[in-house]
Amino acid sequence: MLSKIKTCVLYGLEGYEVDVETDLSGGLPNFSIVGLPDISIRESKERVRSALKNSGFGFPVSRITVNLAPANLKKEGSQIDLPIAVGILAANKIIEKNIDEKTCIIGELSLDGNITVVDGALPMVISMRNNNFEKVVVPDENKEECGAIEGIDIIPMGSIRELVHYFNGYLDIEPYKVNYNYSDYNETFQEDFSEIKGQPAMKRAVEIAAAGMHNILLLGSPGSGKTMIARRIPTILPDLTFEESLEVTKIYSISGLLNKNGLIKKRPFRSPHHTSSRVSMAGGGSKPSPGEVSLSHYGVLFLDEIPEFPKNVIEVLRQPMEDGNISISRANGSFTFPAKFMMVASMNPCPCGYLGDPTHECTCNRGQIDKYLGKISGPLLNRIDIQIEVSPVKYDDLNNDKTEESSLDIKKRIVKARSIQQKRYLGLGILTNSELSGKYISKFCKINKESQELLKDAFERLGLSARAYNKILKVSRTIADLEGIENIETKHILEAIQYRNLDRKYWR
Amino acid sequence: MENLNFSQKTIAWLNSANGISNRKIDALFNYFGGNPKDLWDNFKKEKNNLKLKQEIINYLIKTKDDFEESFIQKLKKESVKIVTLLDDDYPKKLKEIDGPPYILYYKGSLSNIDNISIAVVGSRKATSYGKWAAEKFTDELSELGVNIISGLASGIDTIAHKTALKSNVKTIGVIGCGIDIIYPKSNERLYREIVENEGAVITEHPFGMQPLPNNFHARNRIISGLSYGVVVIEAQERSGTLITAGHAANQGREIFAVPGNIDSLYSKGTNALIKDGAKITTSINDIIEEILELKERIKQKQNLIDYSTLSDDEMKIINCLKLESKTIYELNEETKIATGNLLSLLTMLEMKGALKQLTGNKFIINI
Repeated sequence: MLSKIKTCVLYGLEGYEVDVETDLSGGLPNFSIVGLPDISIRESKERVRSALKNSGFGFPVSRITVNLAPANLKKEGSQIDLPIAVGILAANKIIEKNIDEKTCIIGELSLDGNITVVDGALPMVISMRNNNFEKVVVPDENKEECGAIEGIDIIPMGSIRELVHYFNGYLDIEPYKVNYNYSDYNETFQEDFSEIKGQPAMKRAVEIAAAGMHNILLLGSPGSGKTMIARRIPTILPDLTFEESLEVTKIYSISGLLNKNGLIKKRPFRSPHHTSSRVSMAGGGSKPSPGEVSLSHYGVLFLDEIPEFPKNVIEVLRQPMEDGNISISRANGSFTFPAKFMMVASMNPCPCGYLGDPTHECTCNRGQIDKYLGKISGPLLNRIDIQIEVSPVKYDDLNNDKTEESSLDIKKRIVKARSIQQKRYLGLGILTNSELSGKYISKFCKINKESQELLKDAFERLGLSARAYNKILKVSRTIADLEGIENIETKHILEAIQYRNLDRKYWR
Repeated sequence: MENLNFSQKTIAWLNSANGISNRKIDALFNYFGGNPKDLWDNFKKEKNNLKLKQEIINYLIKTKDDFEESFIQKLKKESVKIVTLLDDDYPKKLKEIDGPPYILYYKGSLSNIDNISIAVVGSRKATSYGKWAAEKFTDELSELGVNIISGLASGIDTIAHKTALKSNVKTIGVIGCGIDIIYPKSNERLYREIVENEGAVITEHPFGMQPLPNNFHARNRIISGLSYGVVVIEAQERSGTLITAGHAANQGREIFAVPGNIDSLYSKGTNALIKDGAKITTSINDIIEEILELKERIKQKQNLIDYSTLSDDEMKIINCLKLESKTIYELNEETKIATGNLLSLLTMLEMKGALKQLTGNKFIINI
């Protein structure tokens, strides 16, 4: 009386096939699970026992041995509840028909026999499809997120009873399909760019940053609208494509942050507080889960008051900003999560916040200011393409009812600029200008002789730092793309230089 | 020099006598009512009333008739030129001092001598700090286009001259011996380079005069006399450098003393100068601040922006900023230039030196 059921465990974002072998034999009644199960799986004994009993199938009085193969792989996650229960039912011949090798079962059990939601269903389903499975049984509540996957049948299941009927052939459940029609999908936001009065330079910088996915640093006194504009950046970013959406949903799925709406269509906007720890930023834990950098994949990671963050928290951003992913190594393995985000950071010019403010006096001394600015390390500054200084809004500007441009108008321009970039970088594994590096910069950011002379002149006269050079080229590329111009012109470079002002004024 | 005018001939002749001081020449001129011709013609007649040593009178009378011819030959041979106190091209700054030298022998060119000049002087035995400071200040002064004056001695003087040459400004070396003698020998090449670069090597001493200790005392008054201010890099107590500073004080020149460690032998003199009221100098701005002409020059340099070369849009921005500093937003409102364009125009204007950026994202016209 042996049965074999296929299920899946997750390592990072990757799902691995696991066999649940169940053997019923004579002897003293006993229930043991072997094959490196973790605590959540050991506890599933109790859930399985009660769920079977309460579903009316009874728990076999015999010696039950469950083996999770391969035996050398550590297994984690409550999704193994259901396959164990099914294994017992199959071994006990309550499920009479053979469950074939191409069917994978995942799901957690509640004591009443219902199948409840699991974390990470989407990445598991995708991995199983890639492992040539034909059918996967998922909890009913996970069907929305999984329904969009092509090439594998999604069988949503509400309870053990339903499942037994299904496998015995008394109940027919249609594979669940969701059709996401991305063309008529329109995300609605509560915020809008038109609410920001004045501040054209800040808006312009943010628009360029969004168009090229450039990291941006906003520096200014309190009340200049830094946070306000940062929160509105998702409203001008292009909608997620299906592939992007799938990738983002995977990350949210394993983090257990999905609601029932299925795939995530809104670009993520994460705003971790400055008391966040290193692990919460990078991801980790004994069972590594994605951190803020991965949760903001394809979206915006907003760090408000960046100097207030502990230095070691900020420094973990360096690798993901460079590589677009983060590798976390722990005793039980190394995991890689994607982390391609647009960093938006804001800060005050000094600890009191009023350096250079027209209406308040700054009370900091030079040493305090240097210490404050020193919290932003050179390597981090190096990875920020656009830096701008913003000044507080005047009362008159707040009060006037001049209509400002709406997010939708700005978004149109950005979408256009992005599609130019995508066309240009087709097949290079690059989506946006911000990802250009070394040889690609010299290939795609060519400037004519006149501009070269000018840039050289600017370096000497304006005292730009060497790190600014590539940034200026990349940002000029984006400005030209926004205008739909193929070659970078002098005026684009001149404008890009303006976005390196802080280097000159604050960090020399 | 092909020929000499009458006063040149007379002064050179008097100066050629070994042991006659500048003050004596002055006395002689006074005796003859400031008239060189009178002096030349009546010297023999009045010889006993001149309070001169007998051997000097004898020497002068002996050489008087053949003097001009042999002197011109010497000048030609060494390609030396002279200028006297009575000539129009005598350095104006030097004329102001008490007891200006009656004659200057020089190699090179004096055409730039009336430009703003600053002396950089210091100890012969310089420390590495002194060398660094000399180079720094000379270099920064050179950027302002001033002449660098020094004493062609080893140590700080050499560094001052060399740095000036490297920065391509005129440099003038004042020496304490005859123009045909190079002292110290190690500076022979520097001596040549100064002359080749249209600077000048100057002395008040006749041909063949050896570098006697007393000569340097007198030389130092010329160094300070030619300059608008004297930068003292390093000086020991009771050194020639301090004598230069003393002359400068007497002549009403600014003294800029570069401070040093109080336990450094080579900064004792400069620290003492500071104690006595010399300007403590830690940056080029300390120098600019005190010299009116330099301040003016910097102002003029900045005012050199030719507004007629600016485009219409650029002028719009300039006009907006004429009265007060403004933020980008205000500029945007007033000029109606699109933000992206405005930003590039602002960079351009900043590069042209027409405006400056302040903290708080404001722009101001550069005056």
